[in-house]
Amino acid sequence: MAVSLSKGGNISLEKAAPGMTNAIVGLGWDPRTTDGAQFDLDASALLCGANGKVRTDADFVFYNNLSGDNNSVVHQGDNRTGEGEGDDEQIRISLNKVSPDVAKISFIASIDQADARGQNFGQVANAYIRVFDADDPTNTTKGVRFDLGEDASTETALIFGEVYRNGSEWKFRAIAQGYSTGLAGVISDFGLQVG
Amino acid sequence: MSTRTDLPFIRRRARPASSAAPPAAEPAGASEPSMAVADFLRGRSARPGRAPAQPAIPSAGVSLDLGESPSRGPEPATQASNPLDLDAQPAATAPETGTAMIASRHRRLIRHDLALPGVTAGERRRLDRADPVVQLTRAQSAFGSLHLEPVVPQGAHLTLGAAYQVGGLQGVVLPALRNMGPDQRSPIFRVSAGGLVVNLRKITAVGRFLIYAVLSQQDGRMPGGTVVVTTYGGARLELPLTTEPTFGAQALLSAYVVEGQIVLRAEHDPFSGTLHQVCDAYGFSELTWRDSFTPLV
Repeated sequence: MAVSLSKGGNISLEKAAPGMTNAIVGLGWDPRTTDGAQFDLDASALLCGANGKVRTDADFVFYNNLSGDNNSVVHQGDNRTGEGEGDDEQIRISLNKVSPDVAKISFIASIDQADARGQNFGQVANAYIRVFDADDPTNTTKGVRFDLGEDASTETALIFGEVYRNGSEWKFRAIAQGYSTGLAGVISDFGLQVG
Repeated sequence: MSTRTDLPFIRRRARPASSAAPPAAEPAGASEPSMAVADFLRGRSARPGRAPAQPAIPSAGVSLDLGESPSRGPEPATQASNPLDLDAQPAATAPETGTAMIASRHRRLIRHDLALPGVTAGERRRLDRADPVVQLTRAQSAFGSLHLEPVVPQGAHLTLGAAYQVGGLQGVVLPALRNMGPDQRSPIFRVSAGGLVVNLRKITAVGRFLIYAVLSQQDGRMPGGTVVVTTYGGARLELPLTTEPTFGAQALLSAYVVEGQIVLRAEHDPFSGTLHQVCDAYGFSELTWRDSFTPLV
């Protein structure tokens, strides 16, 4: 059974998924209520240096920049096939290829046009993030998962979790930090400007 | 109305005399959109298919040298002790598995830098004849919407519309004819009497678009004033308008999406035409028409 974390918890990926070199970070959610308006959530990743900021704007991997750090981090797009236990979006990380100066990778989900549509994460249920071995995806004993619960209300973007270096290993931390300023607010905290 | 002698130029947008200058070298592996936008920036044909094939010339900017001495990154971030840490043992002391060595033997690919001016949040930029081009960042090109608003003298009116290429298909939006496109349920382009909005969430599907003005067919003169383009982050681009007479339609602003980044160019085109002619001249030749100002939608 994959390791289940609570908010703030962390674990070594070598422990959670021994031998993993290619990781898939899967994010999932269910819109709880709809008023007829389309409910569109997007996953993205921010590759940060040791100072917690991105090195360049190319370190922002999202729907308009599907890969970063020389393709070591690749956004897989929407998963509508049912593969991967229903992840809505997935991001693949080649852990061995991530540049040494990338200290952590944060994973974010945001609601498109949240303000215009009056939508927020209070209307989203069953949000989770999980990390599993891309080369052994059906092995349910490997990997780590964090269910975010129902804490969010007015937030329009959430940092679900992060994968970070700890010495020579990679670890995962469950975060669930919300932003009411959307994805633009999140990325500004990581040193990017929308402009 | 006299016979038009400028139609060949409008259609081709290439003056024979100006083609003497050799084309700039393309970076190795330059994608077709990059070549097309190079033409676009030089003011040549807007039709991607017309760009002559150019051999890929290796660029000094993209190196395949695998032997460069790597620069060591900063010390890995250490994490403070956390009561929720599920690891019982201290940080692993195992020797490096070669991960860093493998990663550092390869330099990161350099993106194609078009060396075009950008615009920052809160900045106000005039797109005049001397400085008509601006390149938005990937975030500017994908967040929120791009708003285009005509600001014209009192009593005057200017109708904006757009021709677009999305997913290989061409279409138009024009007030009172087709206000939204290409998908009415989830449009990328929305036009109204007050201006035009481009939904950038779907910019990945957009190849290029052209913003044009349609004038009253009784008068046909541009009203003067300015078209104001605003990004999600508040950057503001201003395109001054002339008061010249036209044949009814005038290209104002063209845009290419190059590797996820929108490159905007104020056209300042001295020639005008019917809407059909203008769309054709800028490469939107797959449209079909009821008459010279009414596309079939």
